[in-house]
Amino acid sequence: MSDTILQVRNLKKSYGSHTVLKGLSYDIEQNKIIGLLGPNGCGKTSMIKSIVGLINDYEGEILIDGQKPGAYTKEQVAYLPERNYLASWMTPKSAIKYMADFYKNFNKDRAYELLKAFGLPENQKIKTMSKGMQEKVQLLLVMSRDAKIYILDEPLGGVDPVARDFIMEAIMKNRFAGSTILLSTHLIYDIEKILDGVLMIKDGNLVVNTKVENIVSQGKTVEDLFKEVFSYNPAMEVPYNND
Amino acid sequence: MIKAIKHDFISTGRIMGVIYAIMAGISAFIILTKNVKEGQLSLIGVLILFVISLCLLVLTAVVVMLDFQKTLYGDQGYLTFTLPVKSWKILASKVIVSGAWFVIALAAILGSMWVAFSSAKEFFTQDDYAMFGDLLEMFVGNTRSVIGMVVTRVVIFFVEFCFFALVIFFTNTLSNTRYFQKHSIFFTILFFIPIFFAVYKISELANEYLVFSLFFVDGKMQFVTDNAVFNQLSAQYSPINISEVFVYLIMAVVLFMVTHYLMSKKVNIR
Repeated sequence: MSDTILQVRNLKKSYGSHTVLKGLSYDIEQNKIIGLLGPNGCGKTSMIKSIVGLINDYEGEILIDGQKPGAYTKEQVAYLPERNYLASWMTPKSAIKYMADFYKNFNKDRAYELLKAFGLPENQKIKTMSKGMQEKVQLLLVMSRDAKIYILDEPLGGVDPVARDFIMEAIMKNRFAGSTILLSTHLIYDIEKILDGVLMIKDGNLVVNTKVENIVSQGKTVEDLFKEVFSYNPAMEVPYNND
Repeated sequence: MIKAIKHDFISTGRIMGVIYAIMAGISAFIILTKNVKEGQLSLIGVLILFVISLCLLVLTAVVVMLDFQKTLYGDQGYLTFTLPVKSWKILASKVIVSGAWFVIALAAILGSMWVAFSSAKEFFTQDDYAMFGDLLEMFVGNTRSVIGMVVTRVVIFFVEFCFFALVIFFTNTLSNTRYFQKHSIFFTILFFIPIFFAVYKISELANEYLVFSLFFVDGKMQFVTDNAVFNQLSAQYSPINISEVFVYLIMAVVLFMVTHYLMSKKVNIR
């Protein structure tokens, strides 16, 4: 059986005349942590939305665990979006019940453990919670699933620097054994040490697809490479790809 | 799909519960007013009850539309569309739950009317009640026929309300495609009016030319498609015209398929 959990082939997506994804192709293996990096508007979210089934009118092919996006792949992918997707009347307790009803791989005990670890009240309504608390509720719902892929879009966005390490630790500790994490963030420094590989997207093109060890072997950090790629340099084209 | 239906009921039930509580309060106030106690239902009371009934149906339609917009094409769409449920099941559960809410609204309206009129004891005399009984017996027949008729009516209402909900869902989904997405609620209302009236006209025409009727004869259901048989039976029994329901059913299937196509292929969640 192949180790590849996510295959993307020639992925293109346009909004009218504006093309946001210009033919991305890459494979992601099982049991890896991949950083998805790029400036705002580069196409990261469109790519993620295509993988999780929120965008369907794309060109190209996406295979998750060998299947096209659909009910099966949605069971295998645990997705944390940037925004709050829970109904305002919900409480953490009712949200846990909701997820447990729909996802066979949802672990209720782990959800309550995380709820306690995050210091969140069971019965407080989502609408009365701060943005940071809402993000923690969503994160615990995602990490309580025994998924094959976790796709986390800016999981550290609304949390203070002190809490970031705690959040990263919770992600690492609670991920399902052998699963892959695709992590989209601007806070490269905070995640650099846990990454196995990076994908960098610029203007809808995949400009970097490499292992972190290759970057390090050249005496650089992921952040150095990010600055190099996204600083204005018209001469530079695809510095690292599929090695 | 059962789980989707359950959670749709929980989600919409929160708002509908509040609406019903308010409506029940107002209705109870009217029913318990002095006039009714004294045996007369005032004209104002009847008018208020009529307005309440109308409001209940309109509010049900508004709740159904806003819930659809919010849970599919708003932020909650990020949750709904990433559930491991086929998209046609998501749509079907919304249609079933909406149809059920409309039937419940209708039942609540008829119930409150019945309570109001029967509270005003002098509104109907004993002779009136006796006359109702005779008419029921004459046109419907025995108890089994009455039950059969009521059940058939409820099913017909459910189909018609599901169709009505589908018109809302289709227009809302169309309004969430790229060109109209910025003002989706405005376009939903704009599209709804001509589509609803076009469909209404089609069903009216179909009714004129098609003879599909149900009769309950001595507790047994009889399906009639022949004009001569229809004329013969309708002289004695009350018919239920179902040609309209067939038209609604066919159009509902078409709308369901088109809405599902748009939903799964053309709408990008913002």
